[in-house]
Amino acid sequence: MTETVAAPPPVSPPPSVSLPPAVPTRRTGVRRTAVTAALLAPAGLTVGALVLVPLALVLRNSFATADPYGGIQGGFTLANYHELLDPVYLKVFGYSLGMAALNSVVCLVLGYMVSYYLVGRPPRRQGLLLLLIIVPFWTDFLVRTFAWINLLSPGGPVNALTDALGLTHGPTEWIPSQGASFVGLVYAFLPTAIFPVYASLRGVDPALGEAARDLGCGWWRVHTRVLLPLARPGLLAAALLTFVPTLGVFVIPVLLGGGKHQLIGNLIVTLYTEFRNQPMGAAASVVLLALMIVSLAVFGAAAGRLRRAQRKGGTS
Amino acid sequence: MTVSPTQTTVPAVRLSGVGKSFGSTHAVRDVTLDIRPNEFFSILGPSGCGKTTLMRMITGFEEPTEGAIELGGVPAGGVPAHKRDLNMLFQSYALFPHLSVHDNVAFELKVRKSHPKQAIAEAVRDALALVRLEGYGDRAISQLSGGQRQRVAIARALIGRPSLLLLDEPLGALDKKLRAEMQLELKKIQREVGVTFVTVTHDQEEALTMSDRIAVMHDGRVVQVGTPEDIYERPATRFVAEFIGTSNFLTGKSDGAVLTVDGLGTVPLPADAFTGEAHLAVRPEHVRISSGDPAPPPERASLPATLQSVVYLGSATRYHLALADGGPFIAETHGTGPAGLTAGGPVLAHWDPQASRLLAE
Repeated sequence: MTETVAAPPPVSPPPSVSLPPAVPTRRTGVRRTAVTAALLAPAGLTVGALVLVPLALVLRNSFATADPYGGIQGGFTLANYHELLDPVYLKVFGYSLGMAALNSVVCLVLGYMVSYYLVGRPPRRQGLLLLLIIVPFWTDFLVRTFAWINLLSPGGPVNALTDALGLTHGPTEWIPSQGASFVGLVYAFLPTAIFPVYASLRGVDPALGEAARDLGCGWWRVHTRVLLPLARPGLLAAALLTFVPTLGVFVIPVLLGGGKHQLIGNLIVTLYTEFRNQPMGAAASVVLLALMIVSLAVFGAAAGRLRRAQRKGGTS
Repeated sequence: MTVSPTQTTVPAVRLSGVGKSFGSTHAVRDVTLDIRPNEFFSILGPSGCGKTTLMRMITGFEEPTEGAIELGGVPAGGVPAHKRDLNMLFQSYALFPHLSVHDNVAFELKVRKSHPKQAIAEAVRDALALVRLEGYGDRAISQLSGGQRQRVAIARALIGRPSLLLLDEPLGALDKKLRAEMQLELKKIQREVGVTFVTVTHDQEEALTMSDRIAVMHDGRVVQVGTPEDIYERPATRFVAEFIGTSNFLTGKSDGAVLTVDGLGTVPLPADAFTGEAHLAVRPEHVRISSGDPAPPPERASLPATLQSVVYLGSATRYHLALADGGPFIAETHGTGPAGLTAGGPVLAHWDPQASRLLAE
């Protein structure tokens, strides 16, 4: 069970081939190329068969016409894309972008706070706490979402807590709701946000925070003037890793949100399965893919600018 | 009859019975001392002696668990680090890698919003001139050498004209040649800006050359406070005599005039000697060696020994001896020493008793 739809798996660079350092004569050069090709073939074929071919099919289908029985008639038309401009669909795209942005912001804030706490612990404690974050991250996505159904159920643990605090009185229905759906999203992507921020904060010399205090920074300005700017690469990576995948989520809005407020992922599933309109589903998938590529490009440009600024020593 | 005016100078730092424990370990115990305004003061001790903790309590990064700290006559208890009128020079320099040299140096003025923009630019220029880095403002920290980084850190720490600058092992990260240069330079800067400098170091040579006064720490306590000469010539304990420079020790029983050492006989003591169990410390440079013929003047203390090895040091020669009980003894002479001594042969080590020092612990 995967949690996202149509997100191409990141293609890892092929393992570099290390051969004994032979004098590159013409013949060994040829042999080397052959060996490299042979070693790359399994990965290449897998990526080709499981990523590129399906993507090409989706792309082709997005320009096809649907037949009334759920099949594909072929042909070439832009009608599917045109139909996606309908406010009903545009609302889903807008809502998805908004949810993804909100989720990224919340995950970034929480992720920074958790990371800041983590790097201040003794090394051994840090390892243990990180493990506590990693274990749920490794647990199946669906299982974790079902766990939230239990946690948030009427009379469940969260309900008991809010009762005890006097916030609620008796069993309360929280599922389905947008709130529950959002809690699920934050929970799902928080570890992904913590790791890169933690990694960049851990590389910051603790003396820098002390130097900032020594030079007159109170608690808040130690963060805004020194630690946050230094954590920027991690924050950027975390934003990318939460924003882009959130666009494709479809399990959480169904299980915790009741499917009322759809994300693009849900829309695609609905178009394929309920509407039995494969070309429309394909067109929505292509749009999702395009949104992801644009987001990646934006984040990539931001990261590039950050790197250049840091090489220059960043004049403010 | 005239009454002499009372000394009204408020100490830059006053520590009264300051202690710090982390759980059951006492990092610092009962430290009481005054640091005078405008002096170059060093806290000297081996690693783990509590000197860093003591400094961190002065900066406000740690609060003492016992005693009180006053800064410029004002109790510092509960005043957070960013509100104390002092700055610190970090061992790692702690320059902000995301800011240029100019922005690092200007950091405090910008944060404290104490100066208008134009004045900040001027102050940065002056601060960089002070450390001889004019024109480096636009550089990135990563483009600087270790020595230049330290100069930027000094400029950054002094730009706000603090009353006190704490320096954590200021020369530790520099190579030997640069270190000698910076020792003099720090001293010069200190005189120029008229700020109290307090350095923390484990390097006795550094402390001796730069400081007006030194506090020697051992096991969380201050064991001696004094001028470099006091500390070197008149160590208060065996630890100080051992830690600062090199000393030979003879342990025995004193009757006020001579020290009786088991297996070695008696040696005469300096004039102010006390009685009881004691250590006699003798600096190698006060020890002369001879073949024993002619005999050294009778007022000199002397012990027979075996010459084990001769080390030529260029400006000095060092002789490693073994006493009759097998204990080591070192003599050092300027230039080349007496001729005709061979390793393995018997020699006589002798010194002026007034140059030795009797220590109780």
